[in-house]
Amino acid sequence: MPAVQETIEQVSAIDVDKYKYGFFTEIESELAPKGLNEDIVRYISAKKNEPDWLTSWRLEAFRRWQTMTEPTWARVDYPPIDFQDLHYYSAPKKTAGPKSLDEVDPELLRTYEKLGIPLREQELLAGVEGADKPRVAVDAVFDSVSVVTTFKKELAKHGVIFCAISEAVREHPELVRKYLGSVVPTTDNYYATLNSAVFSDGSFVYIPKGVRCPMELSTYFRINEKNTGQFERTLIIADEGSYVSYLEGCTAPSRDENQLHAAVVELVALDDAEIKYSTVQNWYPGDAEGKGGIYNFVTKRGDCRGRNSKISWTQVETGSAITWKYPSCILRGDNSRGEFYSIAISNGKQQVDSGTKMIHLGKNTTSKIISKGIAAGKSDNTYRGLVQIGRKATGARNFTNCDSLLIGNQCGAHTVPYIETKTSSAVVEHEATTSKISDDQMFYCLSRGLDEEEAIALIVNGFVRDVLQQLPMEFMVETQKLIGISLEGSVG
Amino acid sequence: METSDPMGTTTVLRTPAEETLLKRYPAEKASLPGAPAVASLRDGAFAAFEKVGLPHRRVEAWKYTDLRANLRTIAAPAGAPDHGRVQALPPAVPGDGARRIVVANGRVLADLSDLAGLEPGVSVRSLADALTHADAAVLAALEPIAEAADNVALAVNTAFMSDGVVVTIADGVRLERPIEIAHVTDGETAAATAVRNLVMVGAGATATVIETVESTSAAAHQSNIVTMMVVGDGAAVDHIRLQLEPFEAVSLTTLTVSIGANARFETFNAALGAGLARAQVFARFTGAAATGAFRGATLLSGRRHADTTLVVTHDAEGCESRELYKAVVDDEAKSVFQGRINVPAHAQKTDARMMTASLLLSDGAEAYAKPELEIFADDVQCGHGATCGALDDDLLFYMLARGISKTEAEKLLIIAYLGEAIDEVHNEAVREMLIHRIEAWLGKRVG
Repeated sequence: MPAVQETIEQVSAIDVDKYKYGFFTEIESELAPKGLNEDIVRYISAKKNEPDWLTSWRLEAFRRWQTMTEPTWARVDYPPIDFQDLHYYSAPKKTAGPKSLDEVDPELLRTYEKLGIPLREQELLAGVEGADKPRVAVDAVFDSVSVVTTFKKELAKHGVIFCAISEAVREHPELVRKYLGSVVPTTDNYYATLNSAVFSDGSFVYIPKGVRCPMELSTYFRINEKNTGQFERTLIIADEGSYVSYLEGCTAPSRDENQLHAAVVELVALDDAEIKYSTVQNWYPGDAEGKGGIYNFVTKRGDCRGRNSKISWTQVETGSAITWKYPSCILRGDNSRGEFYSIAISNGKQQVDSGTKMIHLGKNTTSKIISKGIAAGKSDNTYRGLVQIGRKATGARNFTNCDSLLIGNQCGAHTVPYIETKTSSAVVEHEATTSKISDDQMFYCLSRGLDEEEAIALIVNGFVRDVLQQLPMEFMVETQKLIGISLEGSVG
Repeated sequence: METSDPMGTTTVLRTPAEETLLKRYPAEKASLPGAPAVASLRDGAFAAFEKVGLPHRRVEAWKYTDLRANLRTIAAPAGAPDHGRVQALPPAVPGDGARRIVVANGRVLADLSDLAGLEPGVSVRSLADALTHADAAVLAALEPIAEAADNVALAVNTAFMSDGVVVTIADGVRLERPIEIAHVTDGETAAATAVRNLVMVGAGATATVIETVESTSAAAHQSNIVTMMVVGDGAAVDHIRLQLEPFEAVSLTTLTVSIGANARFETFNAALGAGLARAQVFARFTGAAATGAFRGATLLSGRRHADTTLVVTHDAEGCESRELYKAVVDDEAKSVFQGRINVPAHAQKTDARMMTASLLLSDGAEAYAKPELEIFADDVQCGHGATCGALDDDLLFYMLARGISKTEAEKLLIIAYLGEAIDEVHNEAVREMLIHRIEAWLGKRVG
């Protein structure tokens, strides 16, 4: 059956022509010359005062990138990108040097205020919205640089390192050197290799042994300058027995041109550690005619390196003209767990090709994939996922549930799951029927008086809702509404 | 394999198997049956093959079955079969009462075929004859449906097809006896065959078509069999393919079918033989309110590799399709299932369910599944499921606790598991034969 009215209304509320974050901040920026060559790579490295090893690491990646060809397997269609027609570095002029809030350009602070991202710690503490609101440390990345990171001192008291990655390269080179590229190698894929050559800024997080990070960590990415590409690099390491919840948000001005965002995110969870990584992806999606918008070509991967470690990805994807993104888990440690919860809503002429990879290598590893794709307008929404059970992953377990919903008949929903099993003791289930989530859970909910629809929403979204309530962003309310979207009429 | 040099030009390195095919076609084409019209069809198909070569793992549709790597050599074209040996082969489906037509070494053998007293409205001919006489209806029917258009196995078959069976069933005819096309490869040395069958069932007609694929020896034969079916409006057709070759063989089978309005079509593929097997199904609903069922069972042991690839397009409103494929994988065998359901925007009220399951009996066994959906219509019901795992320990324990031996318990569970697919086969003789074969296979398993 077709989608229910309530769903149609909720989806139309976030249609591409209602993008609220499309304003541009007039701010003087320092731009690298257009184009990409070894000099530009050196220029970026020099701008960041990087040590020699990192400069050669970048150059090596750049040389390899030149030998690679753009991947074409995703179900997305776009004109060829002219990689020489971009500025690979753009930084607001007044932010050079040490960063304290007083030194930050007030224009920048106003931009973040407008986006609903409070950067002043005291404002947060004395927030009118109630003192019980959870505190969130924010790293604000504006084009190619991190402009400010809040709560650093308080976090440092717990031994937590939370800073821009360029700062981490200077302050904690041993950690960066040990882990950078260890999850997503520079040779990984076209866009990850490009990122390795020209990455500008992003966040670095290190949670020491046994520490439960005292607050949510968050990075807010803003693309502002035109003709630029943003190449963020994020690296999160959770040492033995630690826990961190990390949130990521992003927006960009409305422009007729397409802008490239090619990020790499690496997560490392050691023994008994847990990382929760949540994304609200709200890049400019282009207009109703498909003009403009961000190309979001992102490589995100978590490595459950230790025993009993856990990584969970949650994503709410509403923005970007084109999304190409597969947050993955390598379940290397015995008993490690990977989770992927995704809601991808496409509208206008957006194209989404997203999903996950769960690579089971260790014994008794478990993974869960819950994906909802909602296509409206003239958009295309593809779930593409891989579940791979290696020969040594005895006792591994996977459960996958992906649903798609179409609103109107000018859009498309596609499901492309790959399931590869090499051990007989693994149990892999891929299910696209909404009524078969888990009979036990369903029965429990139904016996307590919930109707089936509510029960499904509760089971599928319980976790997602839990995380999203923590989001420090103005559009949290909208996001929550999206999570409540009915599955009724889903086509499998 | 393609290599790119720094100048950006691409050179194509041919494998020995590709080299053989490239040399063979120009040498053989003059002796292949058909009028000039067929020659140009063959040339076109061969050119399509020449352009891409044998498919390999970077070709998405062949991701898990790398022909370029696995097909090391191409066997010599099959010579004339020994009629006595072919005749001596026991019937694959005892007691099915079928009208048996024998295609041995790529030739229809009229003397071994049961062509007497054909029902009115039914014609059975040799494809080679039809091609030689440039039969317009047959030539038109050779055109593949869109789903199969760029398939390399089909293109190679078109280039080299030597013969096959052309069955035409007139409107409204109800066939009492099934038609069985028995494909046999005979000879002690490895031989290659390319057979093309056409089955055209008229409106409102009813028919059962059974295909068996066998050989008289354990030579490393290579067979490439394509069956193209047209199911008329309101017709009811059951198709069964029994893949029974020895494990030395390479078997490529393709079924293309277009299904008319209000028709019922069911196909079942039993992949019980060949060391490297790929069964392809390309189906298209061309009229509204038809139903289709696509099922199969695969039994694999040793180092065998079996691939089931299925593409079903709902090109009309209100059609229903059911897909169910089950595999049992032992030793170091590999099972592959790729299925895709296409639902274009105009195919509203489509109801499609695809399910695949793999049972892994050994730690060296592997299963690959890719159940895809492509949906452009908003008022449809489409689902897919895929599972993979070992036998349920609880069920085994239950039986062991009741004094049933482990071997017997496993056997019961495996038969029950495959039963879900096999029970849907309408032909009783085929069902019995399948159960018999499965029991024999299980009996041979080393506990």
